[in-house]
Amino acid sequence: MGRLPSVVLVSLGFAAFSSVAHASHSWGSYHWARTDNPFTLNLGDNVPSAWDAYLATASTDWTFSSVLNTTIVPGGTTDNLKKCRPTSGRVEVCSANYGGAWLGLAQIWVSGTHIYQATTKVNDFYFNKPKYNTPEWRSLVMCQEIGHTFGLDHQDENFSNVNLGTCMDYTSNPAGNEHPNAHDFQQLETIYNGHFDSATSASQASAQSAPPPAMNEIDFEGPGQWGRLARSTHNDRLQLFELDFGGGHKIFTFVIWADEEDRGRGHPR
Amino acid sequence: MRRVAVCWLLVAAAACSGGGNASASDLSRQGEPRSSRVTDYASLAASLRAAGASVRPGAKVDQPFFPVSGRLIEVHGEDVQVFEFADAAAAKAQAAPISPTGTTIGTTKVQWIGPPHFYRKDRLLVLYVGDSERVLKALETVLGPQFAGR
Repeated sequence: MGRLPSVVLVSLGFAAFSSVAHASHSWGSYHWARTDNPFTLNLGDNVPSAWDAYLATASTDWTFSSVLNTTIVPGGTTDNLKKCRPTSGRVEVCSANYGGAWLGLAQIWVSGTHIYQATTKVNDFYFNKPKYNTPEWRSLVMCQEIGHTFGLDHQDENFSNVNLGTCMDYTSNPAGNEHPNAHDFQQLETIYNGHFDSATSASQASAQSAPPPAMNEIDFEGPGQWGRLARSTHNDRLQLFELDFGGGHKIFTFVIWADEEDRGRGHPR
Repeated sequence: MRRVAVCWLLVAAAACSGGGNASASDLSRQGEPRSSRVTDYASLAASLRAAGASVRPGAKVDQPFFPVSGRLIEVHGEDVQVFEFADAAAAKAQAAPISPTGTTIGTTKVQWIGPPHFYRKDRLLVLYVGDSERVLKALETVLGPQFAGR
């Protein structure tokens, strides 16, 4: 239920304001280097289930941009969520009890003006409290912190004025500010349509990072499950099999065969 | 997976901060610069008490954009974060990348739970997030005007 209305609202909002070209809330000149548009940015999921729907919605919302797509991939910072270790080429999304008087925080690592990794943190210290544990607050903060990692600033930093209808707006009342608006998408176009780079700083591994489910369902009992024979040496006693799932996902099986007369073929030693 | 090897050091975008502390509000009614006595957590607490604020010590606090842990101090019932650096120059260096509105610290964007207010005095950086007039007045009396915030 929640997904379709948000999608429709964002689309209508874009249509209504598409002729207005006054977006000016870039975060300096920071942007991801890329060779073409739309480019794909991976969002590493390091958040518990309570956040999953909000991460998914934010990812979908921002993917309405004409210049970038986001894909949720398994998180790369599972060892210390509080620290939220960054991963080159993508955005790690974390949640923990951070304290510190903030709801959310976005950090980018840059080389010149090129962002090459980023993290967002949502603060469960506050989201475990009734005041902030609402869909509106969770949506706004997740959306805003991810938006910062693209190179967007706030549209407005006044807590008390009328909401602008975007998650990039500071507010004391998040209702109506849960999603990006047309202004945000225009700003992204301004940032990313101006030029292209000779290389990309965003990992182009959206299809690669999430292993296909079949990779976890392999029966390794015999060579019939190991894929093609890629190499064979030492009179076929050392063999390498390669099972290719596409998108860069492969399983290599190294086999040291026992002497046939001792064990018979069929299982690696 | 294609990755870009990055060897560059992070260069924080240095936003300008006012940084100035001296003002008429630095002076107590007797004309004595009350804030001049503030050099650490203990002297801050003492000065706040002397200024008539109710003060209670608080727990440790960490911020991802500061290299040192801080300590909370409760002023008129509100949490204020106190970060003590090695010397005034270190505090000034840490204050430099804080944007005038207090919402950006170098390459970190922060969504505060309320309006942020940053103060610097000697080797202290003090952060209050909120809008209590009593707290703001007490901090300004002791620390001078905020150098960043809303």
